Amino acid sequence: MKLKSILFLALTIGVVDTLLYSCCADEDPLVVGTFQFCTVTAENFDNSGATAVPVSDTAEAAAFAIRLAVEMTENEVCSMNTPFLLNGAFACTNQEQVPLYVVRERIVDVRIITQNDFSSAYLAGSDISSLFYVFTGNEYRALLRQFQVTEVEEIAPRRATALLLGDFDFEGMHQFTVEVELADGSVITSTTQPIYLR
Amino acid sequence: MKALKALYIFAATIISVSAAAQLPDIFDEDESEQKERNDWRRIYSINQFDYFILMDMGGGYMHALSPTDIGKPTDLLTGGRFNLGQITGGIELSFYEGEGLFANLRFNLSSFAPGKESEFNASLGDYLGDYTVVSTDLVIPSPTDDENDAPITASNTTFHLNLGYQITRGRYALAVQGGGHMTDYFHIESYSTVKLNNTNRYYFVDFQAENESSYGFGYQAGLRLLYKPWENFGFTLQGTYFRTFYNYDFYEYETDLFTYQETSYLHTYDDVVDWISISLGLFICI
Repeated sequence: MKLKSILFLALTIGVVDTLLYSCCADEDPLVVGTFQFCTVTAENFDNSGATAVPVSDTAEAAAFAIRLAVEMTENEVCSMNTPFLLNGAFACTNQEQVPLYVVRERIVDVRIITQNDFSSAYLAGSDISSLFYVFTGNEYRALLRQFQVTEVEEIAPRRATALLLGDFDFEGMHQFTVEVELADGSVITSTTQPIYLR
Repeated sequence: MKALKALYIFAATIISVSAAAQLPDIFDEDESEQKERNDWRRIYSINQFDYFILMDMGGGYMHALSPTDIGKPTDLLTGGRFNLGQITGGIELSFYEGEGLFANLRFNLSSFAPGKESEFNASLGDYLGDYTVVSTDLVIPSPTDDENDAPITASNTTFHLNLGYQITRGRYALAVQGGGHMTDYFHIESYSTVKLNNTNRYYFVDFQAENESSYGFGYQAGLRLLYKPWENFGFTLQGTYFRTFYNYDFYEYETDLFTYQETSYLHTYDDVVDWISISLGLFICI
């Protein structure tokens, strides 16, 4: 009976040990908190040169861009429920885990609403985000893709330069409202300064 | 004009060596070496190991581009190329016995990988008017590489025909030589992303020159020192200046990154490459 207990204890320790070390071998980053998208800013940019620069009064429509910056805030640090057995001798050591923040409410849509008639197909109030793309250095991406982030290593604004690559009919003053919709249905918005597009 | 220039360089080197031959012996000789002095016979030089310094500071120029071409580079390889550490192997056959005039034929197969200090500095150059180069990578893949991600190796073959004048002093022989050469061009490729100014449009431009459609001719002049510590074997040390005039076809594949539509162009490209070869080798003398 005594021998049986010893064998059972040894087996239990072995199983627990295996489980613990298999957990340690897992290099999943350490989730230290959450973040929330809170505000968005939208600025007019001129991309006629080698790099896009802010512009205030007038721009070529063919080289027009909107620079979006979605700010995020850090929420409370999650309380880490350290398993009892991880304390002391069984705790994982010598592992630099990357701190990671996960999103609370992810972005589900990014819309650019024109305040004026933009083209014959896009009148005032239309969503023209499908006319804007982000150039990554080797390809054009849809605007939303740049903001489909669910976890980050640091809390920093998420930026993208949305390049206008669609039809444009109406030369004149234009203004755009950027709407960022989150998973809970809330919408954060920003409106650009009026700009003369030619 | 170029041929005259080459002839002038060659004549000048011959005259220089002839003058040098009149100078007192530059190497001490003893009696045994005196005997060896006339033992220089036909030289078959093998296993040349060259260290090349490749200079191309001027870049090259495209021919007659249409103003409607998207790509429009006027100077494809601006900034020059400067490469150290080109290793070659080759065979040289000298039709030569003893002191005096000689001729040799040399074949070189070059395969080189630029060292750390080497740099092929290339860009698409100045795009006419409306284009801005966003980024450029020049790759020189080996013809045997399937993928272009093994970029900086290349090979080419060169035939040289040299005429020269040699003086012998004991175990040493010093020669000046000059002549012409022909070579093919290695595969060379340049990838660039360019932006059409005043728009939001970007293009991917891939320039390629292939061995099959590329060749070069030129002239060369240099010095050759032979040292023969044994009766039939010895070492060679050569320093040669080359000027090669290349003409090759350059294919341009241009992809509109928004529509992914590809357009191709064919350009004829001229280039002048100056290079210096410092060569160490072995020879047999029979």
